[in-house]
Amino acid sequence: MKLLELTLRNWRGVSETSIRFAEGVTLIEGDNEIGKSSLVEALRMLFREQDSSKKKGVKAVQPVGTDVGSFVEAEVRCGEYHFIYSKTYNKKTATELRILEPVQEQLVGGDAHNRAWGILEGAIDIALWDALLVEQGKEIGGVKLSDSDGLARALDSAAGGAGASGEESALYDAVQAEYGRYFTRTGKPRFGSEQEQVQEYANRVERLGEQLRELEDDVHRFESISADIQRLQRSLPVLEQSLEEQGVRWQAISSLQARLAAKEEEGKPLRQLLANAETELARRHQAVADISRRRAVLGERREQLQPLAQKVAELEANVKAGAELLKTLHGQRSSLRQTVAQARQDADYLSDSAELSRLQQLLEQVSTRRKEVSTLHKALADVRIDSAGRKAVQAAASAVEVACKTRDNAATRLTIAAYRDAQFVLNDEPVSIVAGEQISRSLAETLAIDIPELALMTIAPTAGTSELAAEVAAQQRQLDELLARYQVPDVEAAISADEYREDASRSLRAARQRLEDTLQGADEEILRDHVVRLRQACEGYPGLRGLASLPTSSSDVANRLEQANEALEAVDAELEQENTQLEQQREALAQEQAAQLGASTEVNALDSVLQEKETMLASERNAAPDAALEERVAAHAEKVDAINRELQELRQQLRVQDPDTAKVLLDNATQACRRAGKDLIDRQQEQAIIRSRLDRAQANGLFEEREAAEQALAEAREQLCATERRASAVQLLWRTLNEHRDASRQAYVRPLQEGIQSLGKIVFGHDFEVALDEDWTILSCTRNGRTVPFESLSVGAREQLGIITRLAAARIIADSGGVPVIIDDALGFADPTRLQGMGAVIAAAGRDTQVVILTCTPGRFMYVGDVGVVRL
Amino acid sequence: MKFIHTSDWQIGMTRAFLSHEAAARYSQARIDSIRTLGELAQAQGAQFMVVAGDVFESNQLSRQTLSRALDALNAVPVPVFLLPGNHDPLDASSIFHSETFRGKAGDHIVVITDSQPVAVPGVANVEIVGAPWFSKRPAADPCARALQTLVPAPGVSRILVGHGQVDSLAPDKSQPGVIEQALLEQALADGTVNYVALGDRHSLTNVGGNGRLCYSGAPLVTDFDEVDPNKALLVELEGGSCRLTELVTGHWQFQALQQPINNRDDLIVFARWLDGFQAKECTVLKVGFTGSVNLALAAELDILMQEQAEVFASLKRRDRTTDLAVIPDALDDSTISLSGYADSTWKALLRRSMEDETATDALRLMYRLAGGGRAP
Repeated sequence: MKLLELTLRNWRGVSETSIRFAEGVTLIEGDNEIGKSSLVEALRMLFREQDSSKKKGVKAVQPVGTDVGSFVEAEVRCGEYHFIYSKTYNKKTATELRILEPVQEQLVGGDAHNRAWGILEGAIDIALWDALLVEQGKEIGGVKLSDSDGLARALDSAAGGAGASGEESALYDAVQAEYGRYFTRTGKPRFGSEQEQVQEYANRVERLGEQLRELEDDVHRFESISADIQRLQRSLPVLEQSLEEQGVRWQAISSLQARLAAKEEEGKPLRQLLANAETELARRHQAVADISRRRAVLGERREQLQPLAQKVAELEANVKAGAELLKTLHGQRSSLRQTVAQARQDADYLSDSAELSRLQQLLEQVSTRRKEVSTLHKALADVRIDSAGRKAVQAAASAVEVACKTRDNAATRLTIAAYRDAQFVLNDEPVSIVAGEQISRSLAETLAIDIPELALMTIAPTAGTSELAAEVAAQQRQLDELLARYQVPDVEAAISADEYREDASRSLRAARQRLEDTLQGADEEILRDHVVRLRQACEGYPGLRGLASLPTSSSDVANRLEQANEALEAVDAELEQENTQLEQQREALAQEQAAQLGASTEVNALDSVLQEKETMLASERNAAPDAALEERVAAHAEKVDAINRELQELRQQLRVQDPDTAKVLLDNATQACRRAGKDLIDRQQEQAIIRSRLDRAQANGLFEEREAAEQALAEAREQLCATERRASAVQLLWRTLNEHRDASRQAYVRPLQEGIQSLGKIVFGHDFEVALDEDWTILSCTRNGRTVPFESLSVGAREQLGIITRLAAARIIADSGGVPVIIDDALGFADPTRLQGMGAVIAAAGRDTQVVILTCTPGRFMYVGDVGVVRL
Repeated sequence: MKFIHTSDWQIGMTRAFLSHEAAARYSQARIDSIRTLGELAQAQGAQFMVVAGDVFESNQLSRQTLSRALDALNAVPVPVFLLPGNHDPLDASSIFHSETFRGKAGDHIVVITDSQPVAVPGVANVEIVGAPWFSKRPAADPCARALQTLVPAPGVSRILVGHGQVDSLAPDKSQPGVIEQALLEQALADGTVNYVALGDRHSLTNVGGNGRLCYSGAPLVTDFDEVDPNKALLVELEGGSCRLTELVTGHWQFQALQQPINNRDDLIVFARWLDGFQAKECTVLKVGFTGSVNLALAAELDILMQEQAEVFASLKRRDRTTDLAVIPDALDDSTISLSGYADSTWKALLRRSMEDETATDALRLMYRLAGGGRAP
């Protein structure tokens, strides 16, 4: 099929456009919304939709806001036909087909539509046409070519096949349908229920067979039980007869046994009496023997007492001697202790006497010193002044002098020079002056010169002079006070008094020092007390002791003490030794005494028991003498012997009867009888049980049931066998058919694969390869030795491969009713290198098949070499 | 004196090769044969009837089957002596002891439970001496035991009714329970008995040739290898003579055959032969095919067998004896047209069919699906 021209009028946004297509590649350029996609839409709609169609898609092509019909017209060459086909939709609808070749024809309306579709369908592969259309905005990845019979045929032919016919797929469908009758899609048999049925019947036959066998066993068992019962019924009387015979025999033995028992019973008290008499006699003998044994023991014990007493006496003597020796030693020790005490007292006395005389001397010295001190104290007590006072007095005297001088210097000096001797009173002071002398007075105060009978002259000092005079007076007063306080008449006295005080003080300190040196820190009072005590001790001692041997020197005393001590120590040691020895002796004595006591107690006890026994024996003998006892024993023994002889006789009789065997035979006969009886009952019971079981089974019709089951099983088996045979036939056929179909498909795939590869190399390089599935979808592609699944390729690569696949498919069928490849706006994802390659690919494909490219970006297709360009 | 000698009724027998539907009719035919025997007794003036063993196929029959058999038996107008055989021995589970049997069997039905001579009710000077089976595996010849204490009774016609194989016909003579033929002949010769009515063989057989020692055969065919089944004997004992008349009691047929098929003519012959059968619904056939056929002929044979199987009581291939090679030939190739992968599939299966029968089946299926063998 070749598109020659397409005209649109009032089609969506397109008011009128007409395109003339090139033989090879036609590139239709135009901006967005200018109606490129409408071309594709119109072309499809022209063939598929009746002019009267009220479909939404058809209505949508009417330009917005107008009320006009939408017109499409195509000039097409298709197979042997060349025709112009037009339709008007929505308004003033019309269809017109003008066939130009091979025979001119003109049709309108539905006839035209049907005819056009018929031509198209007859000449081209509609499915492929649909598949090869690359629509705008749709993913251009894989392309579904498997529905295309045309491609299949073309590929088959290219693969050198025998040429596929429609019959194959009809046969394929028929086999598939047949297969479907026996198997599910996943290959599971559908006749499972038949198999189950067979199994079920087989089980049923088996079960019924088992029941029948059981039944038959029961029949056999019943027969054998019946035989048993008959046997038992025959043997029971024989056994009973035998039992009776054994019973009679046993009866005789029983009566003999009874007599024997009675006789034994009779002998029992006699034997008892004999035994009693024998016991009594034996006891008498025993008592006699016991007593003589006890006597011997007692004698032995008594003999053993003697050495013990000797030993005790010996030890007692030892202890006594030891005690006496100890006593003597104690006496020695106390006299020695007295001697030592005497010596010590002597020593004390001597040392006390010495101490007393020393202390008395010391106290005398102390007394002397104390007197010195007291004298000095008294002297010092009279002196009132001290060094401070002396200084104060000296200072006051000096101050008076200073004040006088000051007054005198300042006061009007009155000098009286006597021309003669005269007397006068000067300020109440009689003054006698000798001629040629002068008296000079400073006029510090009012000076009254009373010259007797002559005049009284009063000279008053000036004001200032009087103050100075007052100062002198004040100083003088102060001095006087001090002198008074220290009870010294004047300054000189004060000084000497003070010096005296200092000397006396020094002497006092020296005297005290000496006193202290003498005492050497001891308290005088204590010393005195000590002296008193010593004196008392020393004064009495000689009287008390007697003067005879009072030693004279301390060394003498020490010698004596030492000697006494040594003697005492020697005695002490001896005493200790003797003491220990005595203790040992006493201990040994105590032990021996205890042993002696124990032994004598035992002897006493033995003696008393022996006496008791002897008394008892005597009394017993009194009651029954030994001879009487012996006689009684003999009498009883005779009676017992008689009974024993009778018993012997009876036992002999019994032995002859052989009771053991008789018993065994009787028991056995009883048991045999009982067992046979029990067996019979058991068998009869069992028989009854089997009988009832058989009766029940009888009514069940088991045999027929099994026969029926077997028949059903045979039928089911036969059916299953036939089914399985048919199933395996169809399975084999289906598998084989599929294998060959797949193989042939694979053969078809090869030309397409080669076609894709030869175009693909232009874009993807010389080592480009693709792998196709049997439905011609691309599985993977290989570049630079790397194989990538189709889904994992980039969007761009998938799109490029999609276009290449379409072009390759279109090329393959180009010779037999090819279809144009329409590519509406693609390669948006391709880079310039790829675009260049794709351009070459499209151009190459265009040489064999018609290619229509619609694009709004003509730049993408600038690399397509041989191309007819249409601009909208 | 006339009586009917029959045996091996095998009431309750089924045959696995029969379909459910045919099996039901076959069972009914068994009951019907009892009624037929009753009618024949009436028609022939027989005074009584002896059934020489295996009246029942088993002791364990359903109440329904037994009741129906008894119903038919009760309708027989003459006394009927039933002998327990190896299938229905007089053991603890014996069907003759069953409640149903005891409750429903008419007074004229006599079960032979021992070997004491029994007088036939209403018939003077005739005694029946039976040799019943007491278990499925008897220790000794039951007939010999029955004859042991039997002394001749002048003026009385005695009929010994026995069951089992006579030693002259038994394949294994050492089996206990095999009947010593010489003893029977001796008894016949010395007049202890006048006729020996035997059962167990399903084919009517005159043993020894003196005409008094006979197997009546089964009244209804039970197997393919039976000679002259569907019969009973009318026995007339008059004075010293014994006359036997065969009576037809059933019309079922069991037939086994081998059929060579090598070409279309053979097939046509076979089809005609099948068509020739009367009462196909009572006919059981098993056919073993031999020869070789192409797919078209095999398909035709399949269709023929399929169609006829619907008419016959049973029509089956004997797999054991069938050796029919299906060899696709040039004719097959041209009757259907295959191309492409279908063609290669055909060829592959063809190669495989040499040793794989399933491949042959697959070819036949493909042949059919591709439109081969369709009526033009």
